Amino acid sequence: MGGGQSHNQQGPQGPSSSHGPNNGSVLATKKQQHENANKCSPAKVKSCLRTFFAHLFSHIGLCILIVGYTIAGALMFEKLEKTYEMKLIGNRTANFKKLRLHYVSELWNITEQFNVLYEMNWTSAVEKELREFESRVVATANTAGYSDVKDDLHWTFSGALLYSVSIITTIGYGNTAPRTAWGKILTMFYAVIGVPLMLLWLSNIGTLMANTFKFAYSHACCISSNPSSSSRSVQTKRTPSSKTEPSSIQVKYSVSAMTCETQVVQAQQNMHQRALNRREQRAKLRSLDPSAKQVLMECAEYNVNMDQDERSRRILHQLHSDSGGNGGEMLNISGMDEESSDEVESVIDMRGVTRGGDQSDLRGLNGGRGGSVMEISVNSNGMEGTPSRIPLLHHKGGGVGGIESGPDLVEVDEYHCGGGGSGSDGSASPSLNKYHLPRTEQRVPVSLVLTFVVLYIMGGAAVFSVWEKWGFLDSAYFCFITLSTIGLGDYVPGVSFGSAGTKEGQAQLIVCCLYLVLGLAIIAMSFNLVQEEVAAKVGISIRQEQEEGKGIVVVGSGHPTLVSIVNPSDYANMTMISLKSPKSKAISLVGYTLN
Amino acid sequence: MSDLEYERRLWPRIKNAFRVLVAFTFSHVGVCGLVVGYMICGAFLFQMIEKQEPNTQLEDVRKIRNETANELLSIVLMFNTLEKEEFFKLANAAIKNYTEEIVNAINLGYEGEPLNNQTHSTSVPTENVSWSFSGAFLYSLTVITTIGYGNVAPRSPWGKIATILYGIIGMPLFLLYLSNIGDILARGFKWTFARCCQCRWNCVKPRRYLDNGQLDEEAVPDEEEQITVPISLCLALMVGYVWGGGLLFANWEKWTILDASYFCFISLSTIGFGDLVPGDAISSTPGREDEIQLSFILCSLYLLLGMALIAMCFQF
Repeated sequence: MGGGQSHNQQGPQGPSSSHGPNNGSVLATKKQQHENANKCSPAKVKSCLRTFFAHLFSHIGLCILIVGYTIAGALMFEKLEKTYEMKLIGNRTANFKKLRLHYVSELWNITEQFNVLYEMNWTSAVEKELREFESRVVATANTAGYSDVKDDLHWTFSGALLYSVSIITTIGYGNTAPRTAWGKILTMFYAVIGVPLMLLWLSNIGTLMANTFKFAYSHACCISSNPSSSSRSVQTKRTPSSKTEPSSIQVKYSVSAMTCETQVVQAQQNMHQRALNRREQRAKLRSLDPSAKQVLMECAEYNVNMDQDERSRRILHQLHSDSGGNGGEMLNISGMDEESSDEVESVIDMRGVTRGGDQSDLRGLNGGRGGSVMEISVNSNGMEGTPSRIPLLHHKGGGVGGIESGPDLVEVDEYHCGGGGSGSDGSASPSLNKYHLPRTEQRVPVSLVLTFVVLYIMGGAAVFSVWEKWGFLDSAYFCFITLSTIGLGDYVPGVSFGSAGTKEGQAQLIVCCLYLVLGLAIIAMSFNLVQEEVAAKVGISIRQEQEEGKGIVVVGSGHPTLVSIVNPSDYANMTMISLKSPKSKAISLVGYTLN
Repeated sequence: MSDLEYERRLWPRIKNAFRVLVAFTFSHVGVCGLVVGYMICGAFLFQMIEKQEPNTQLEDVRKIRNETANELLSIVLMFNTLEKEEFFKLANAAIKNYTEEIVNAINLGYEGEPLNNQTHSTSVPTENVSWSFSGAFLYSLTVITTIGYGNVAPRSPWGKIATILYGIIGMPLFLLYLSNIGDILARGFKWTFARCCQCRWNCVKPRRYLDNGQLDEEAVPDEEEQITVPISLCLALMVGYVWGGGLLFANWEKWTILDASYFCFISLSTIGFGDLVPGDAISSTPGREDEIQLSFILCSLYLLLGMALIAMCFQF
């Protein structure tokens, strides 16, 4: 890891040795991982830049693509439908004229019939004629294809723009709808391509906005030491007062496909866990996937070999002692139980996912793809005064402890292998570019997000009620119907009476387009933000019900690659999210279960 | 492994499977039933709210008609001897005014008064098929699936508020339903597909090998994982469904096949313009309310099944 060390961004590590890849005692995995790390490391800056630009272009590129697609669609549809509509209007005017003539002559005939004018008879006859006339007018209006009868064109450029937007967002107002056969066919194809594109863009921008929001929120609330929304640093959070808070250790296996990027999802423990029996905890330990244990052991060995890491050595020690000892129990906390206070318990909760239950597959994945990371991260209890960057092994619960005494509990802040050293922020590792999702103290509360959305709707309602001269309720109703993509179409801005053809009307249409696109982005962002909260709150209980390791969902993009492992509670959410965008082909759910 | 041990392992597995099956069925059935029940409740709710709306537009139009008739009368009475030209000119103007008024009313949603309503009753609002039970059911469906046709839309303020609240609760519920149904259908489909695949082409079951190289006989090959349904099949299924629906609606609604397929596509993608809605063609002729209601119900079923199929395809 010599090369990797040079890029190590942290300060004091272990002995900074320039150990090259070791000899036979290192399993093949490590060597491969090391090589991968080495491969990344000389080009670390370049790869960072590349990813940065890829992100930039993916965001901006998508935006441009969407805008271009919409405009192209607007032009196309306008061309197709305009002539037809003008013809229709011409026909309708002519028809009305004919009708009028017909009925006026009818009236004349009636008048002639009555030599003597009896008002009653005459009036009733006239009324009958008028009613007939009226129904003919209504029928004519309907057959012309539009439910409204206007001499202003629907298919102006801005009308067509609103139409395109309403297709790809699946709102579908319907006040403007294609009448020609080609228009209909083209609409179908336009939708098939446009809807997934829009969903991709929405998910993209939703994530971006969610991160920005979290960033702003964390700064605004002046919480915590390290705002961690930046994508390059991994933080460990100390909760200084959280002696009461149970800690959890979660092992996440992340394998990245293309880039050396992994995503880590953390779930926080909640109070529920505290009530868990120790025996249950131990049972959980026993139920650890042997392959997970194996991987952890290998990781520790690698790190020990690489960095002479104290911590890794300790972990290894424990692993070896355990495997010889209590029949495969990974980390023995038996000695601790009675003394430790309730708050100190830690549940080790490892879920390993391997393809087909085969360890070699994971190795294969490690070696084959660009970067593989196995990362064990722990939210540790607050050990006050401990700087967050120095890895710790705590001895909890009153022992004389400290690092030297071979604790029974392993609590580490961040434990990385595969080149991450033992750094707690892990950014050293060239193969580890991690997102560290902010922890609870940085989670945006659901109420705030909902308030934001509601404010947006209200704001839009206010604007539209002033512009369109609707009532406030009607405008709010319109905003809701639009942003939920229901899109009834009974209220559409810019096409109301007398304003359709004017410049003002066109401007209103365009503003409506912008409003709804922005509103959908905000909704995507709020889904993103709320998802974690809901997963944390609801997910824990779900996790209790399900058996360990059952039904872990892997979300892959493109081909089913293990991108991130989340706890099963996210399954429902992700299903929901992915089906919120049911046409999105960018997300496919593949479920794996532990054997 | 001895037979006894195998049996001992088998029994809890069976029990487990049974338990899983029961939980599975209840959860999935529960959600489906919940969604259907929610739609029925919504139908009643909207029916109750919207049907009470007196059709004020009808009154307005009648008033306008009266006024026009009076105006015409005054025209006639004006002249002692009536010249045709004069009459035509003036009557034309009056009728033109009348036309504009009707057009205004149409733009605000006026649908015309049925011709057979000879009695000038002003009290009873005409029986509106749009807000019958099946119409309201279709409306609820379009709200929670976010299709949102818009051919029927709430006019009263309470209707609008009810729509908002109904949608807020109903949309996530529907998504839950979709994910559940999609799951069931996907599993069933994969199972059938796997069986077909095996029977017809003698697909080899993928086997797992233990670390020591022996065949892992215990592991139940998890066919669901290994069988991937080809994308082309999913696409063909969806296209076939849209096409089939097109044929069905073309037959039923007397649309062209293109129009009917276009309608199916627009509905299933939840765009839902509402320019073509079942019941349109028939609604102009009075007295066929039953058929219209039937077509609404048929449309609802088609949409429910179609969206489930789409959800299933996305599970692949």
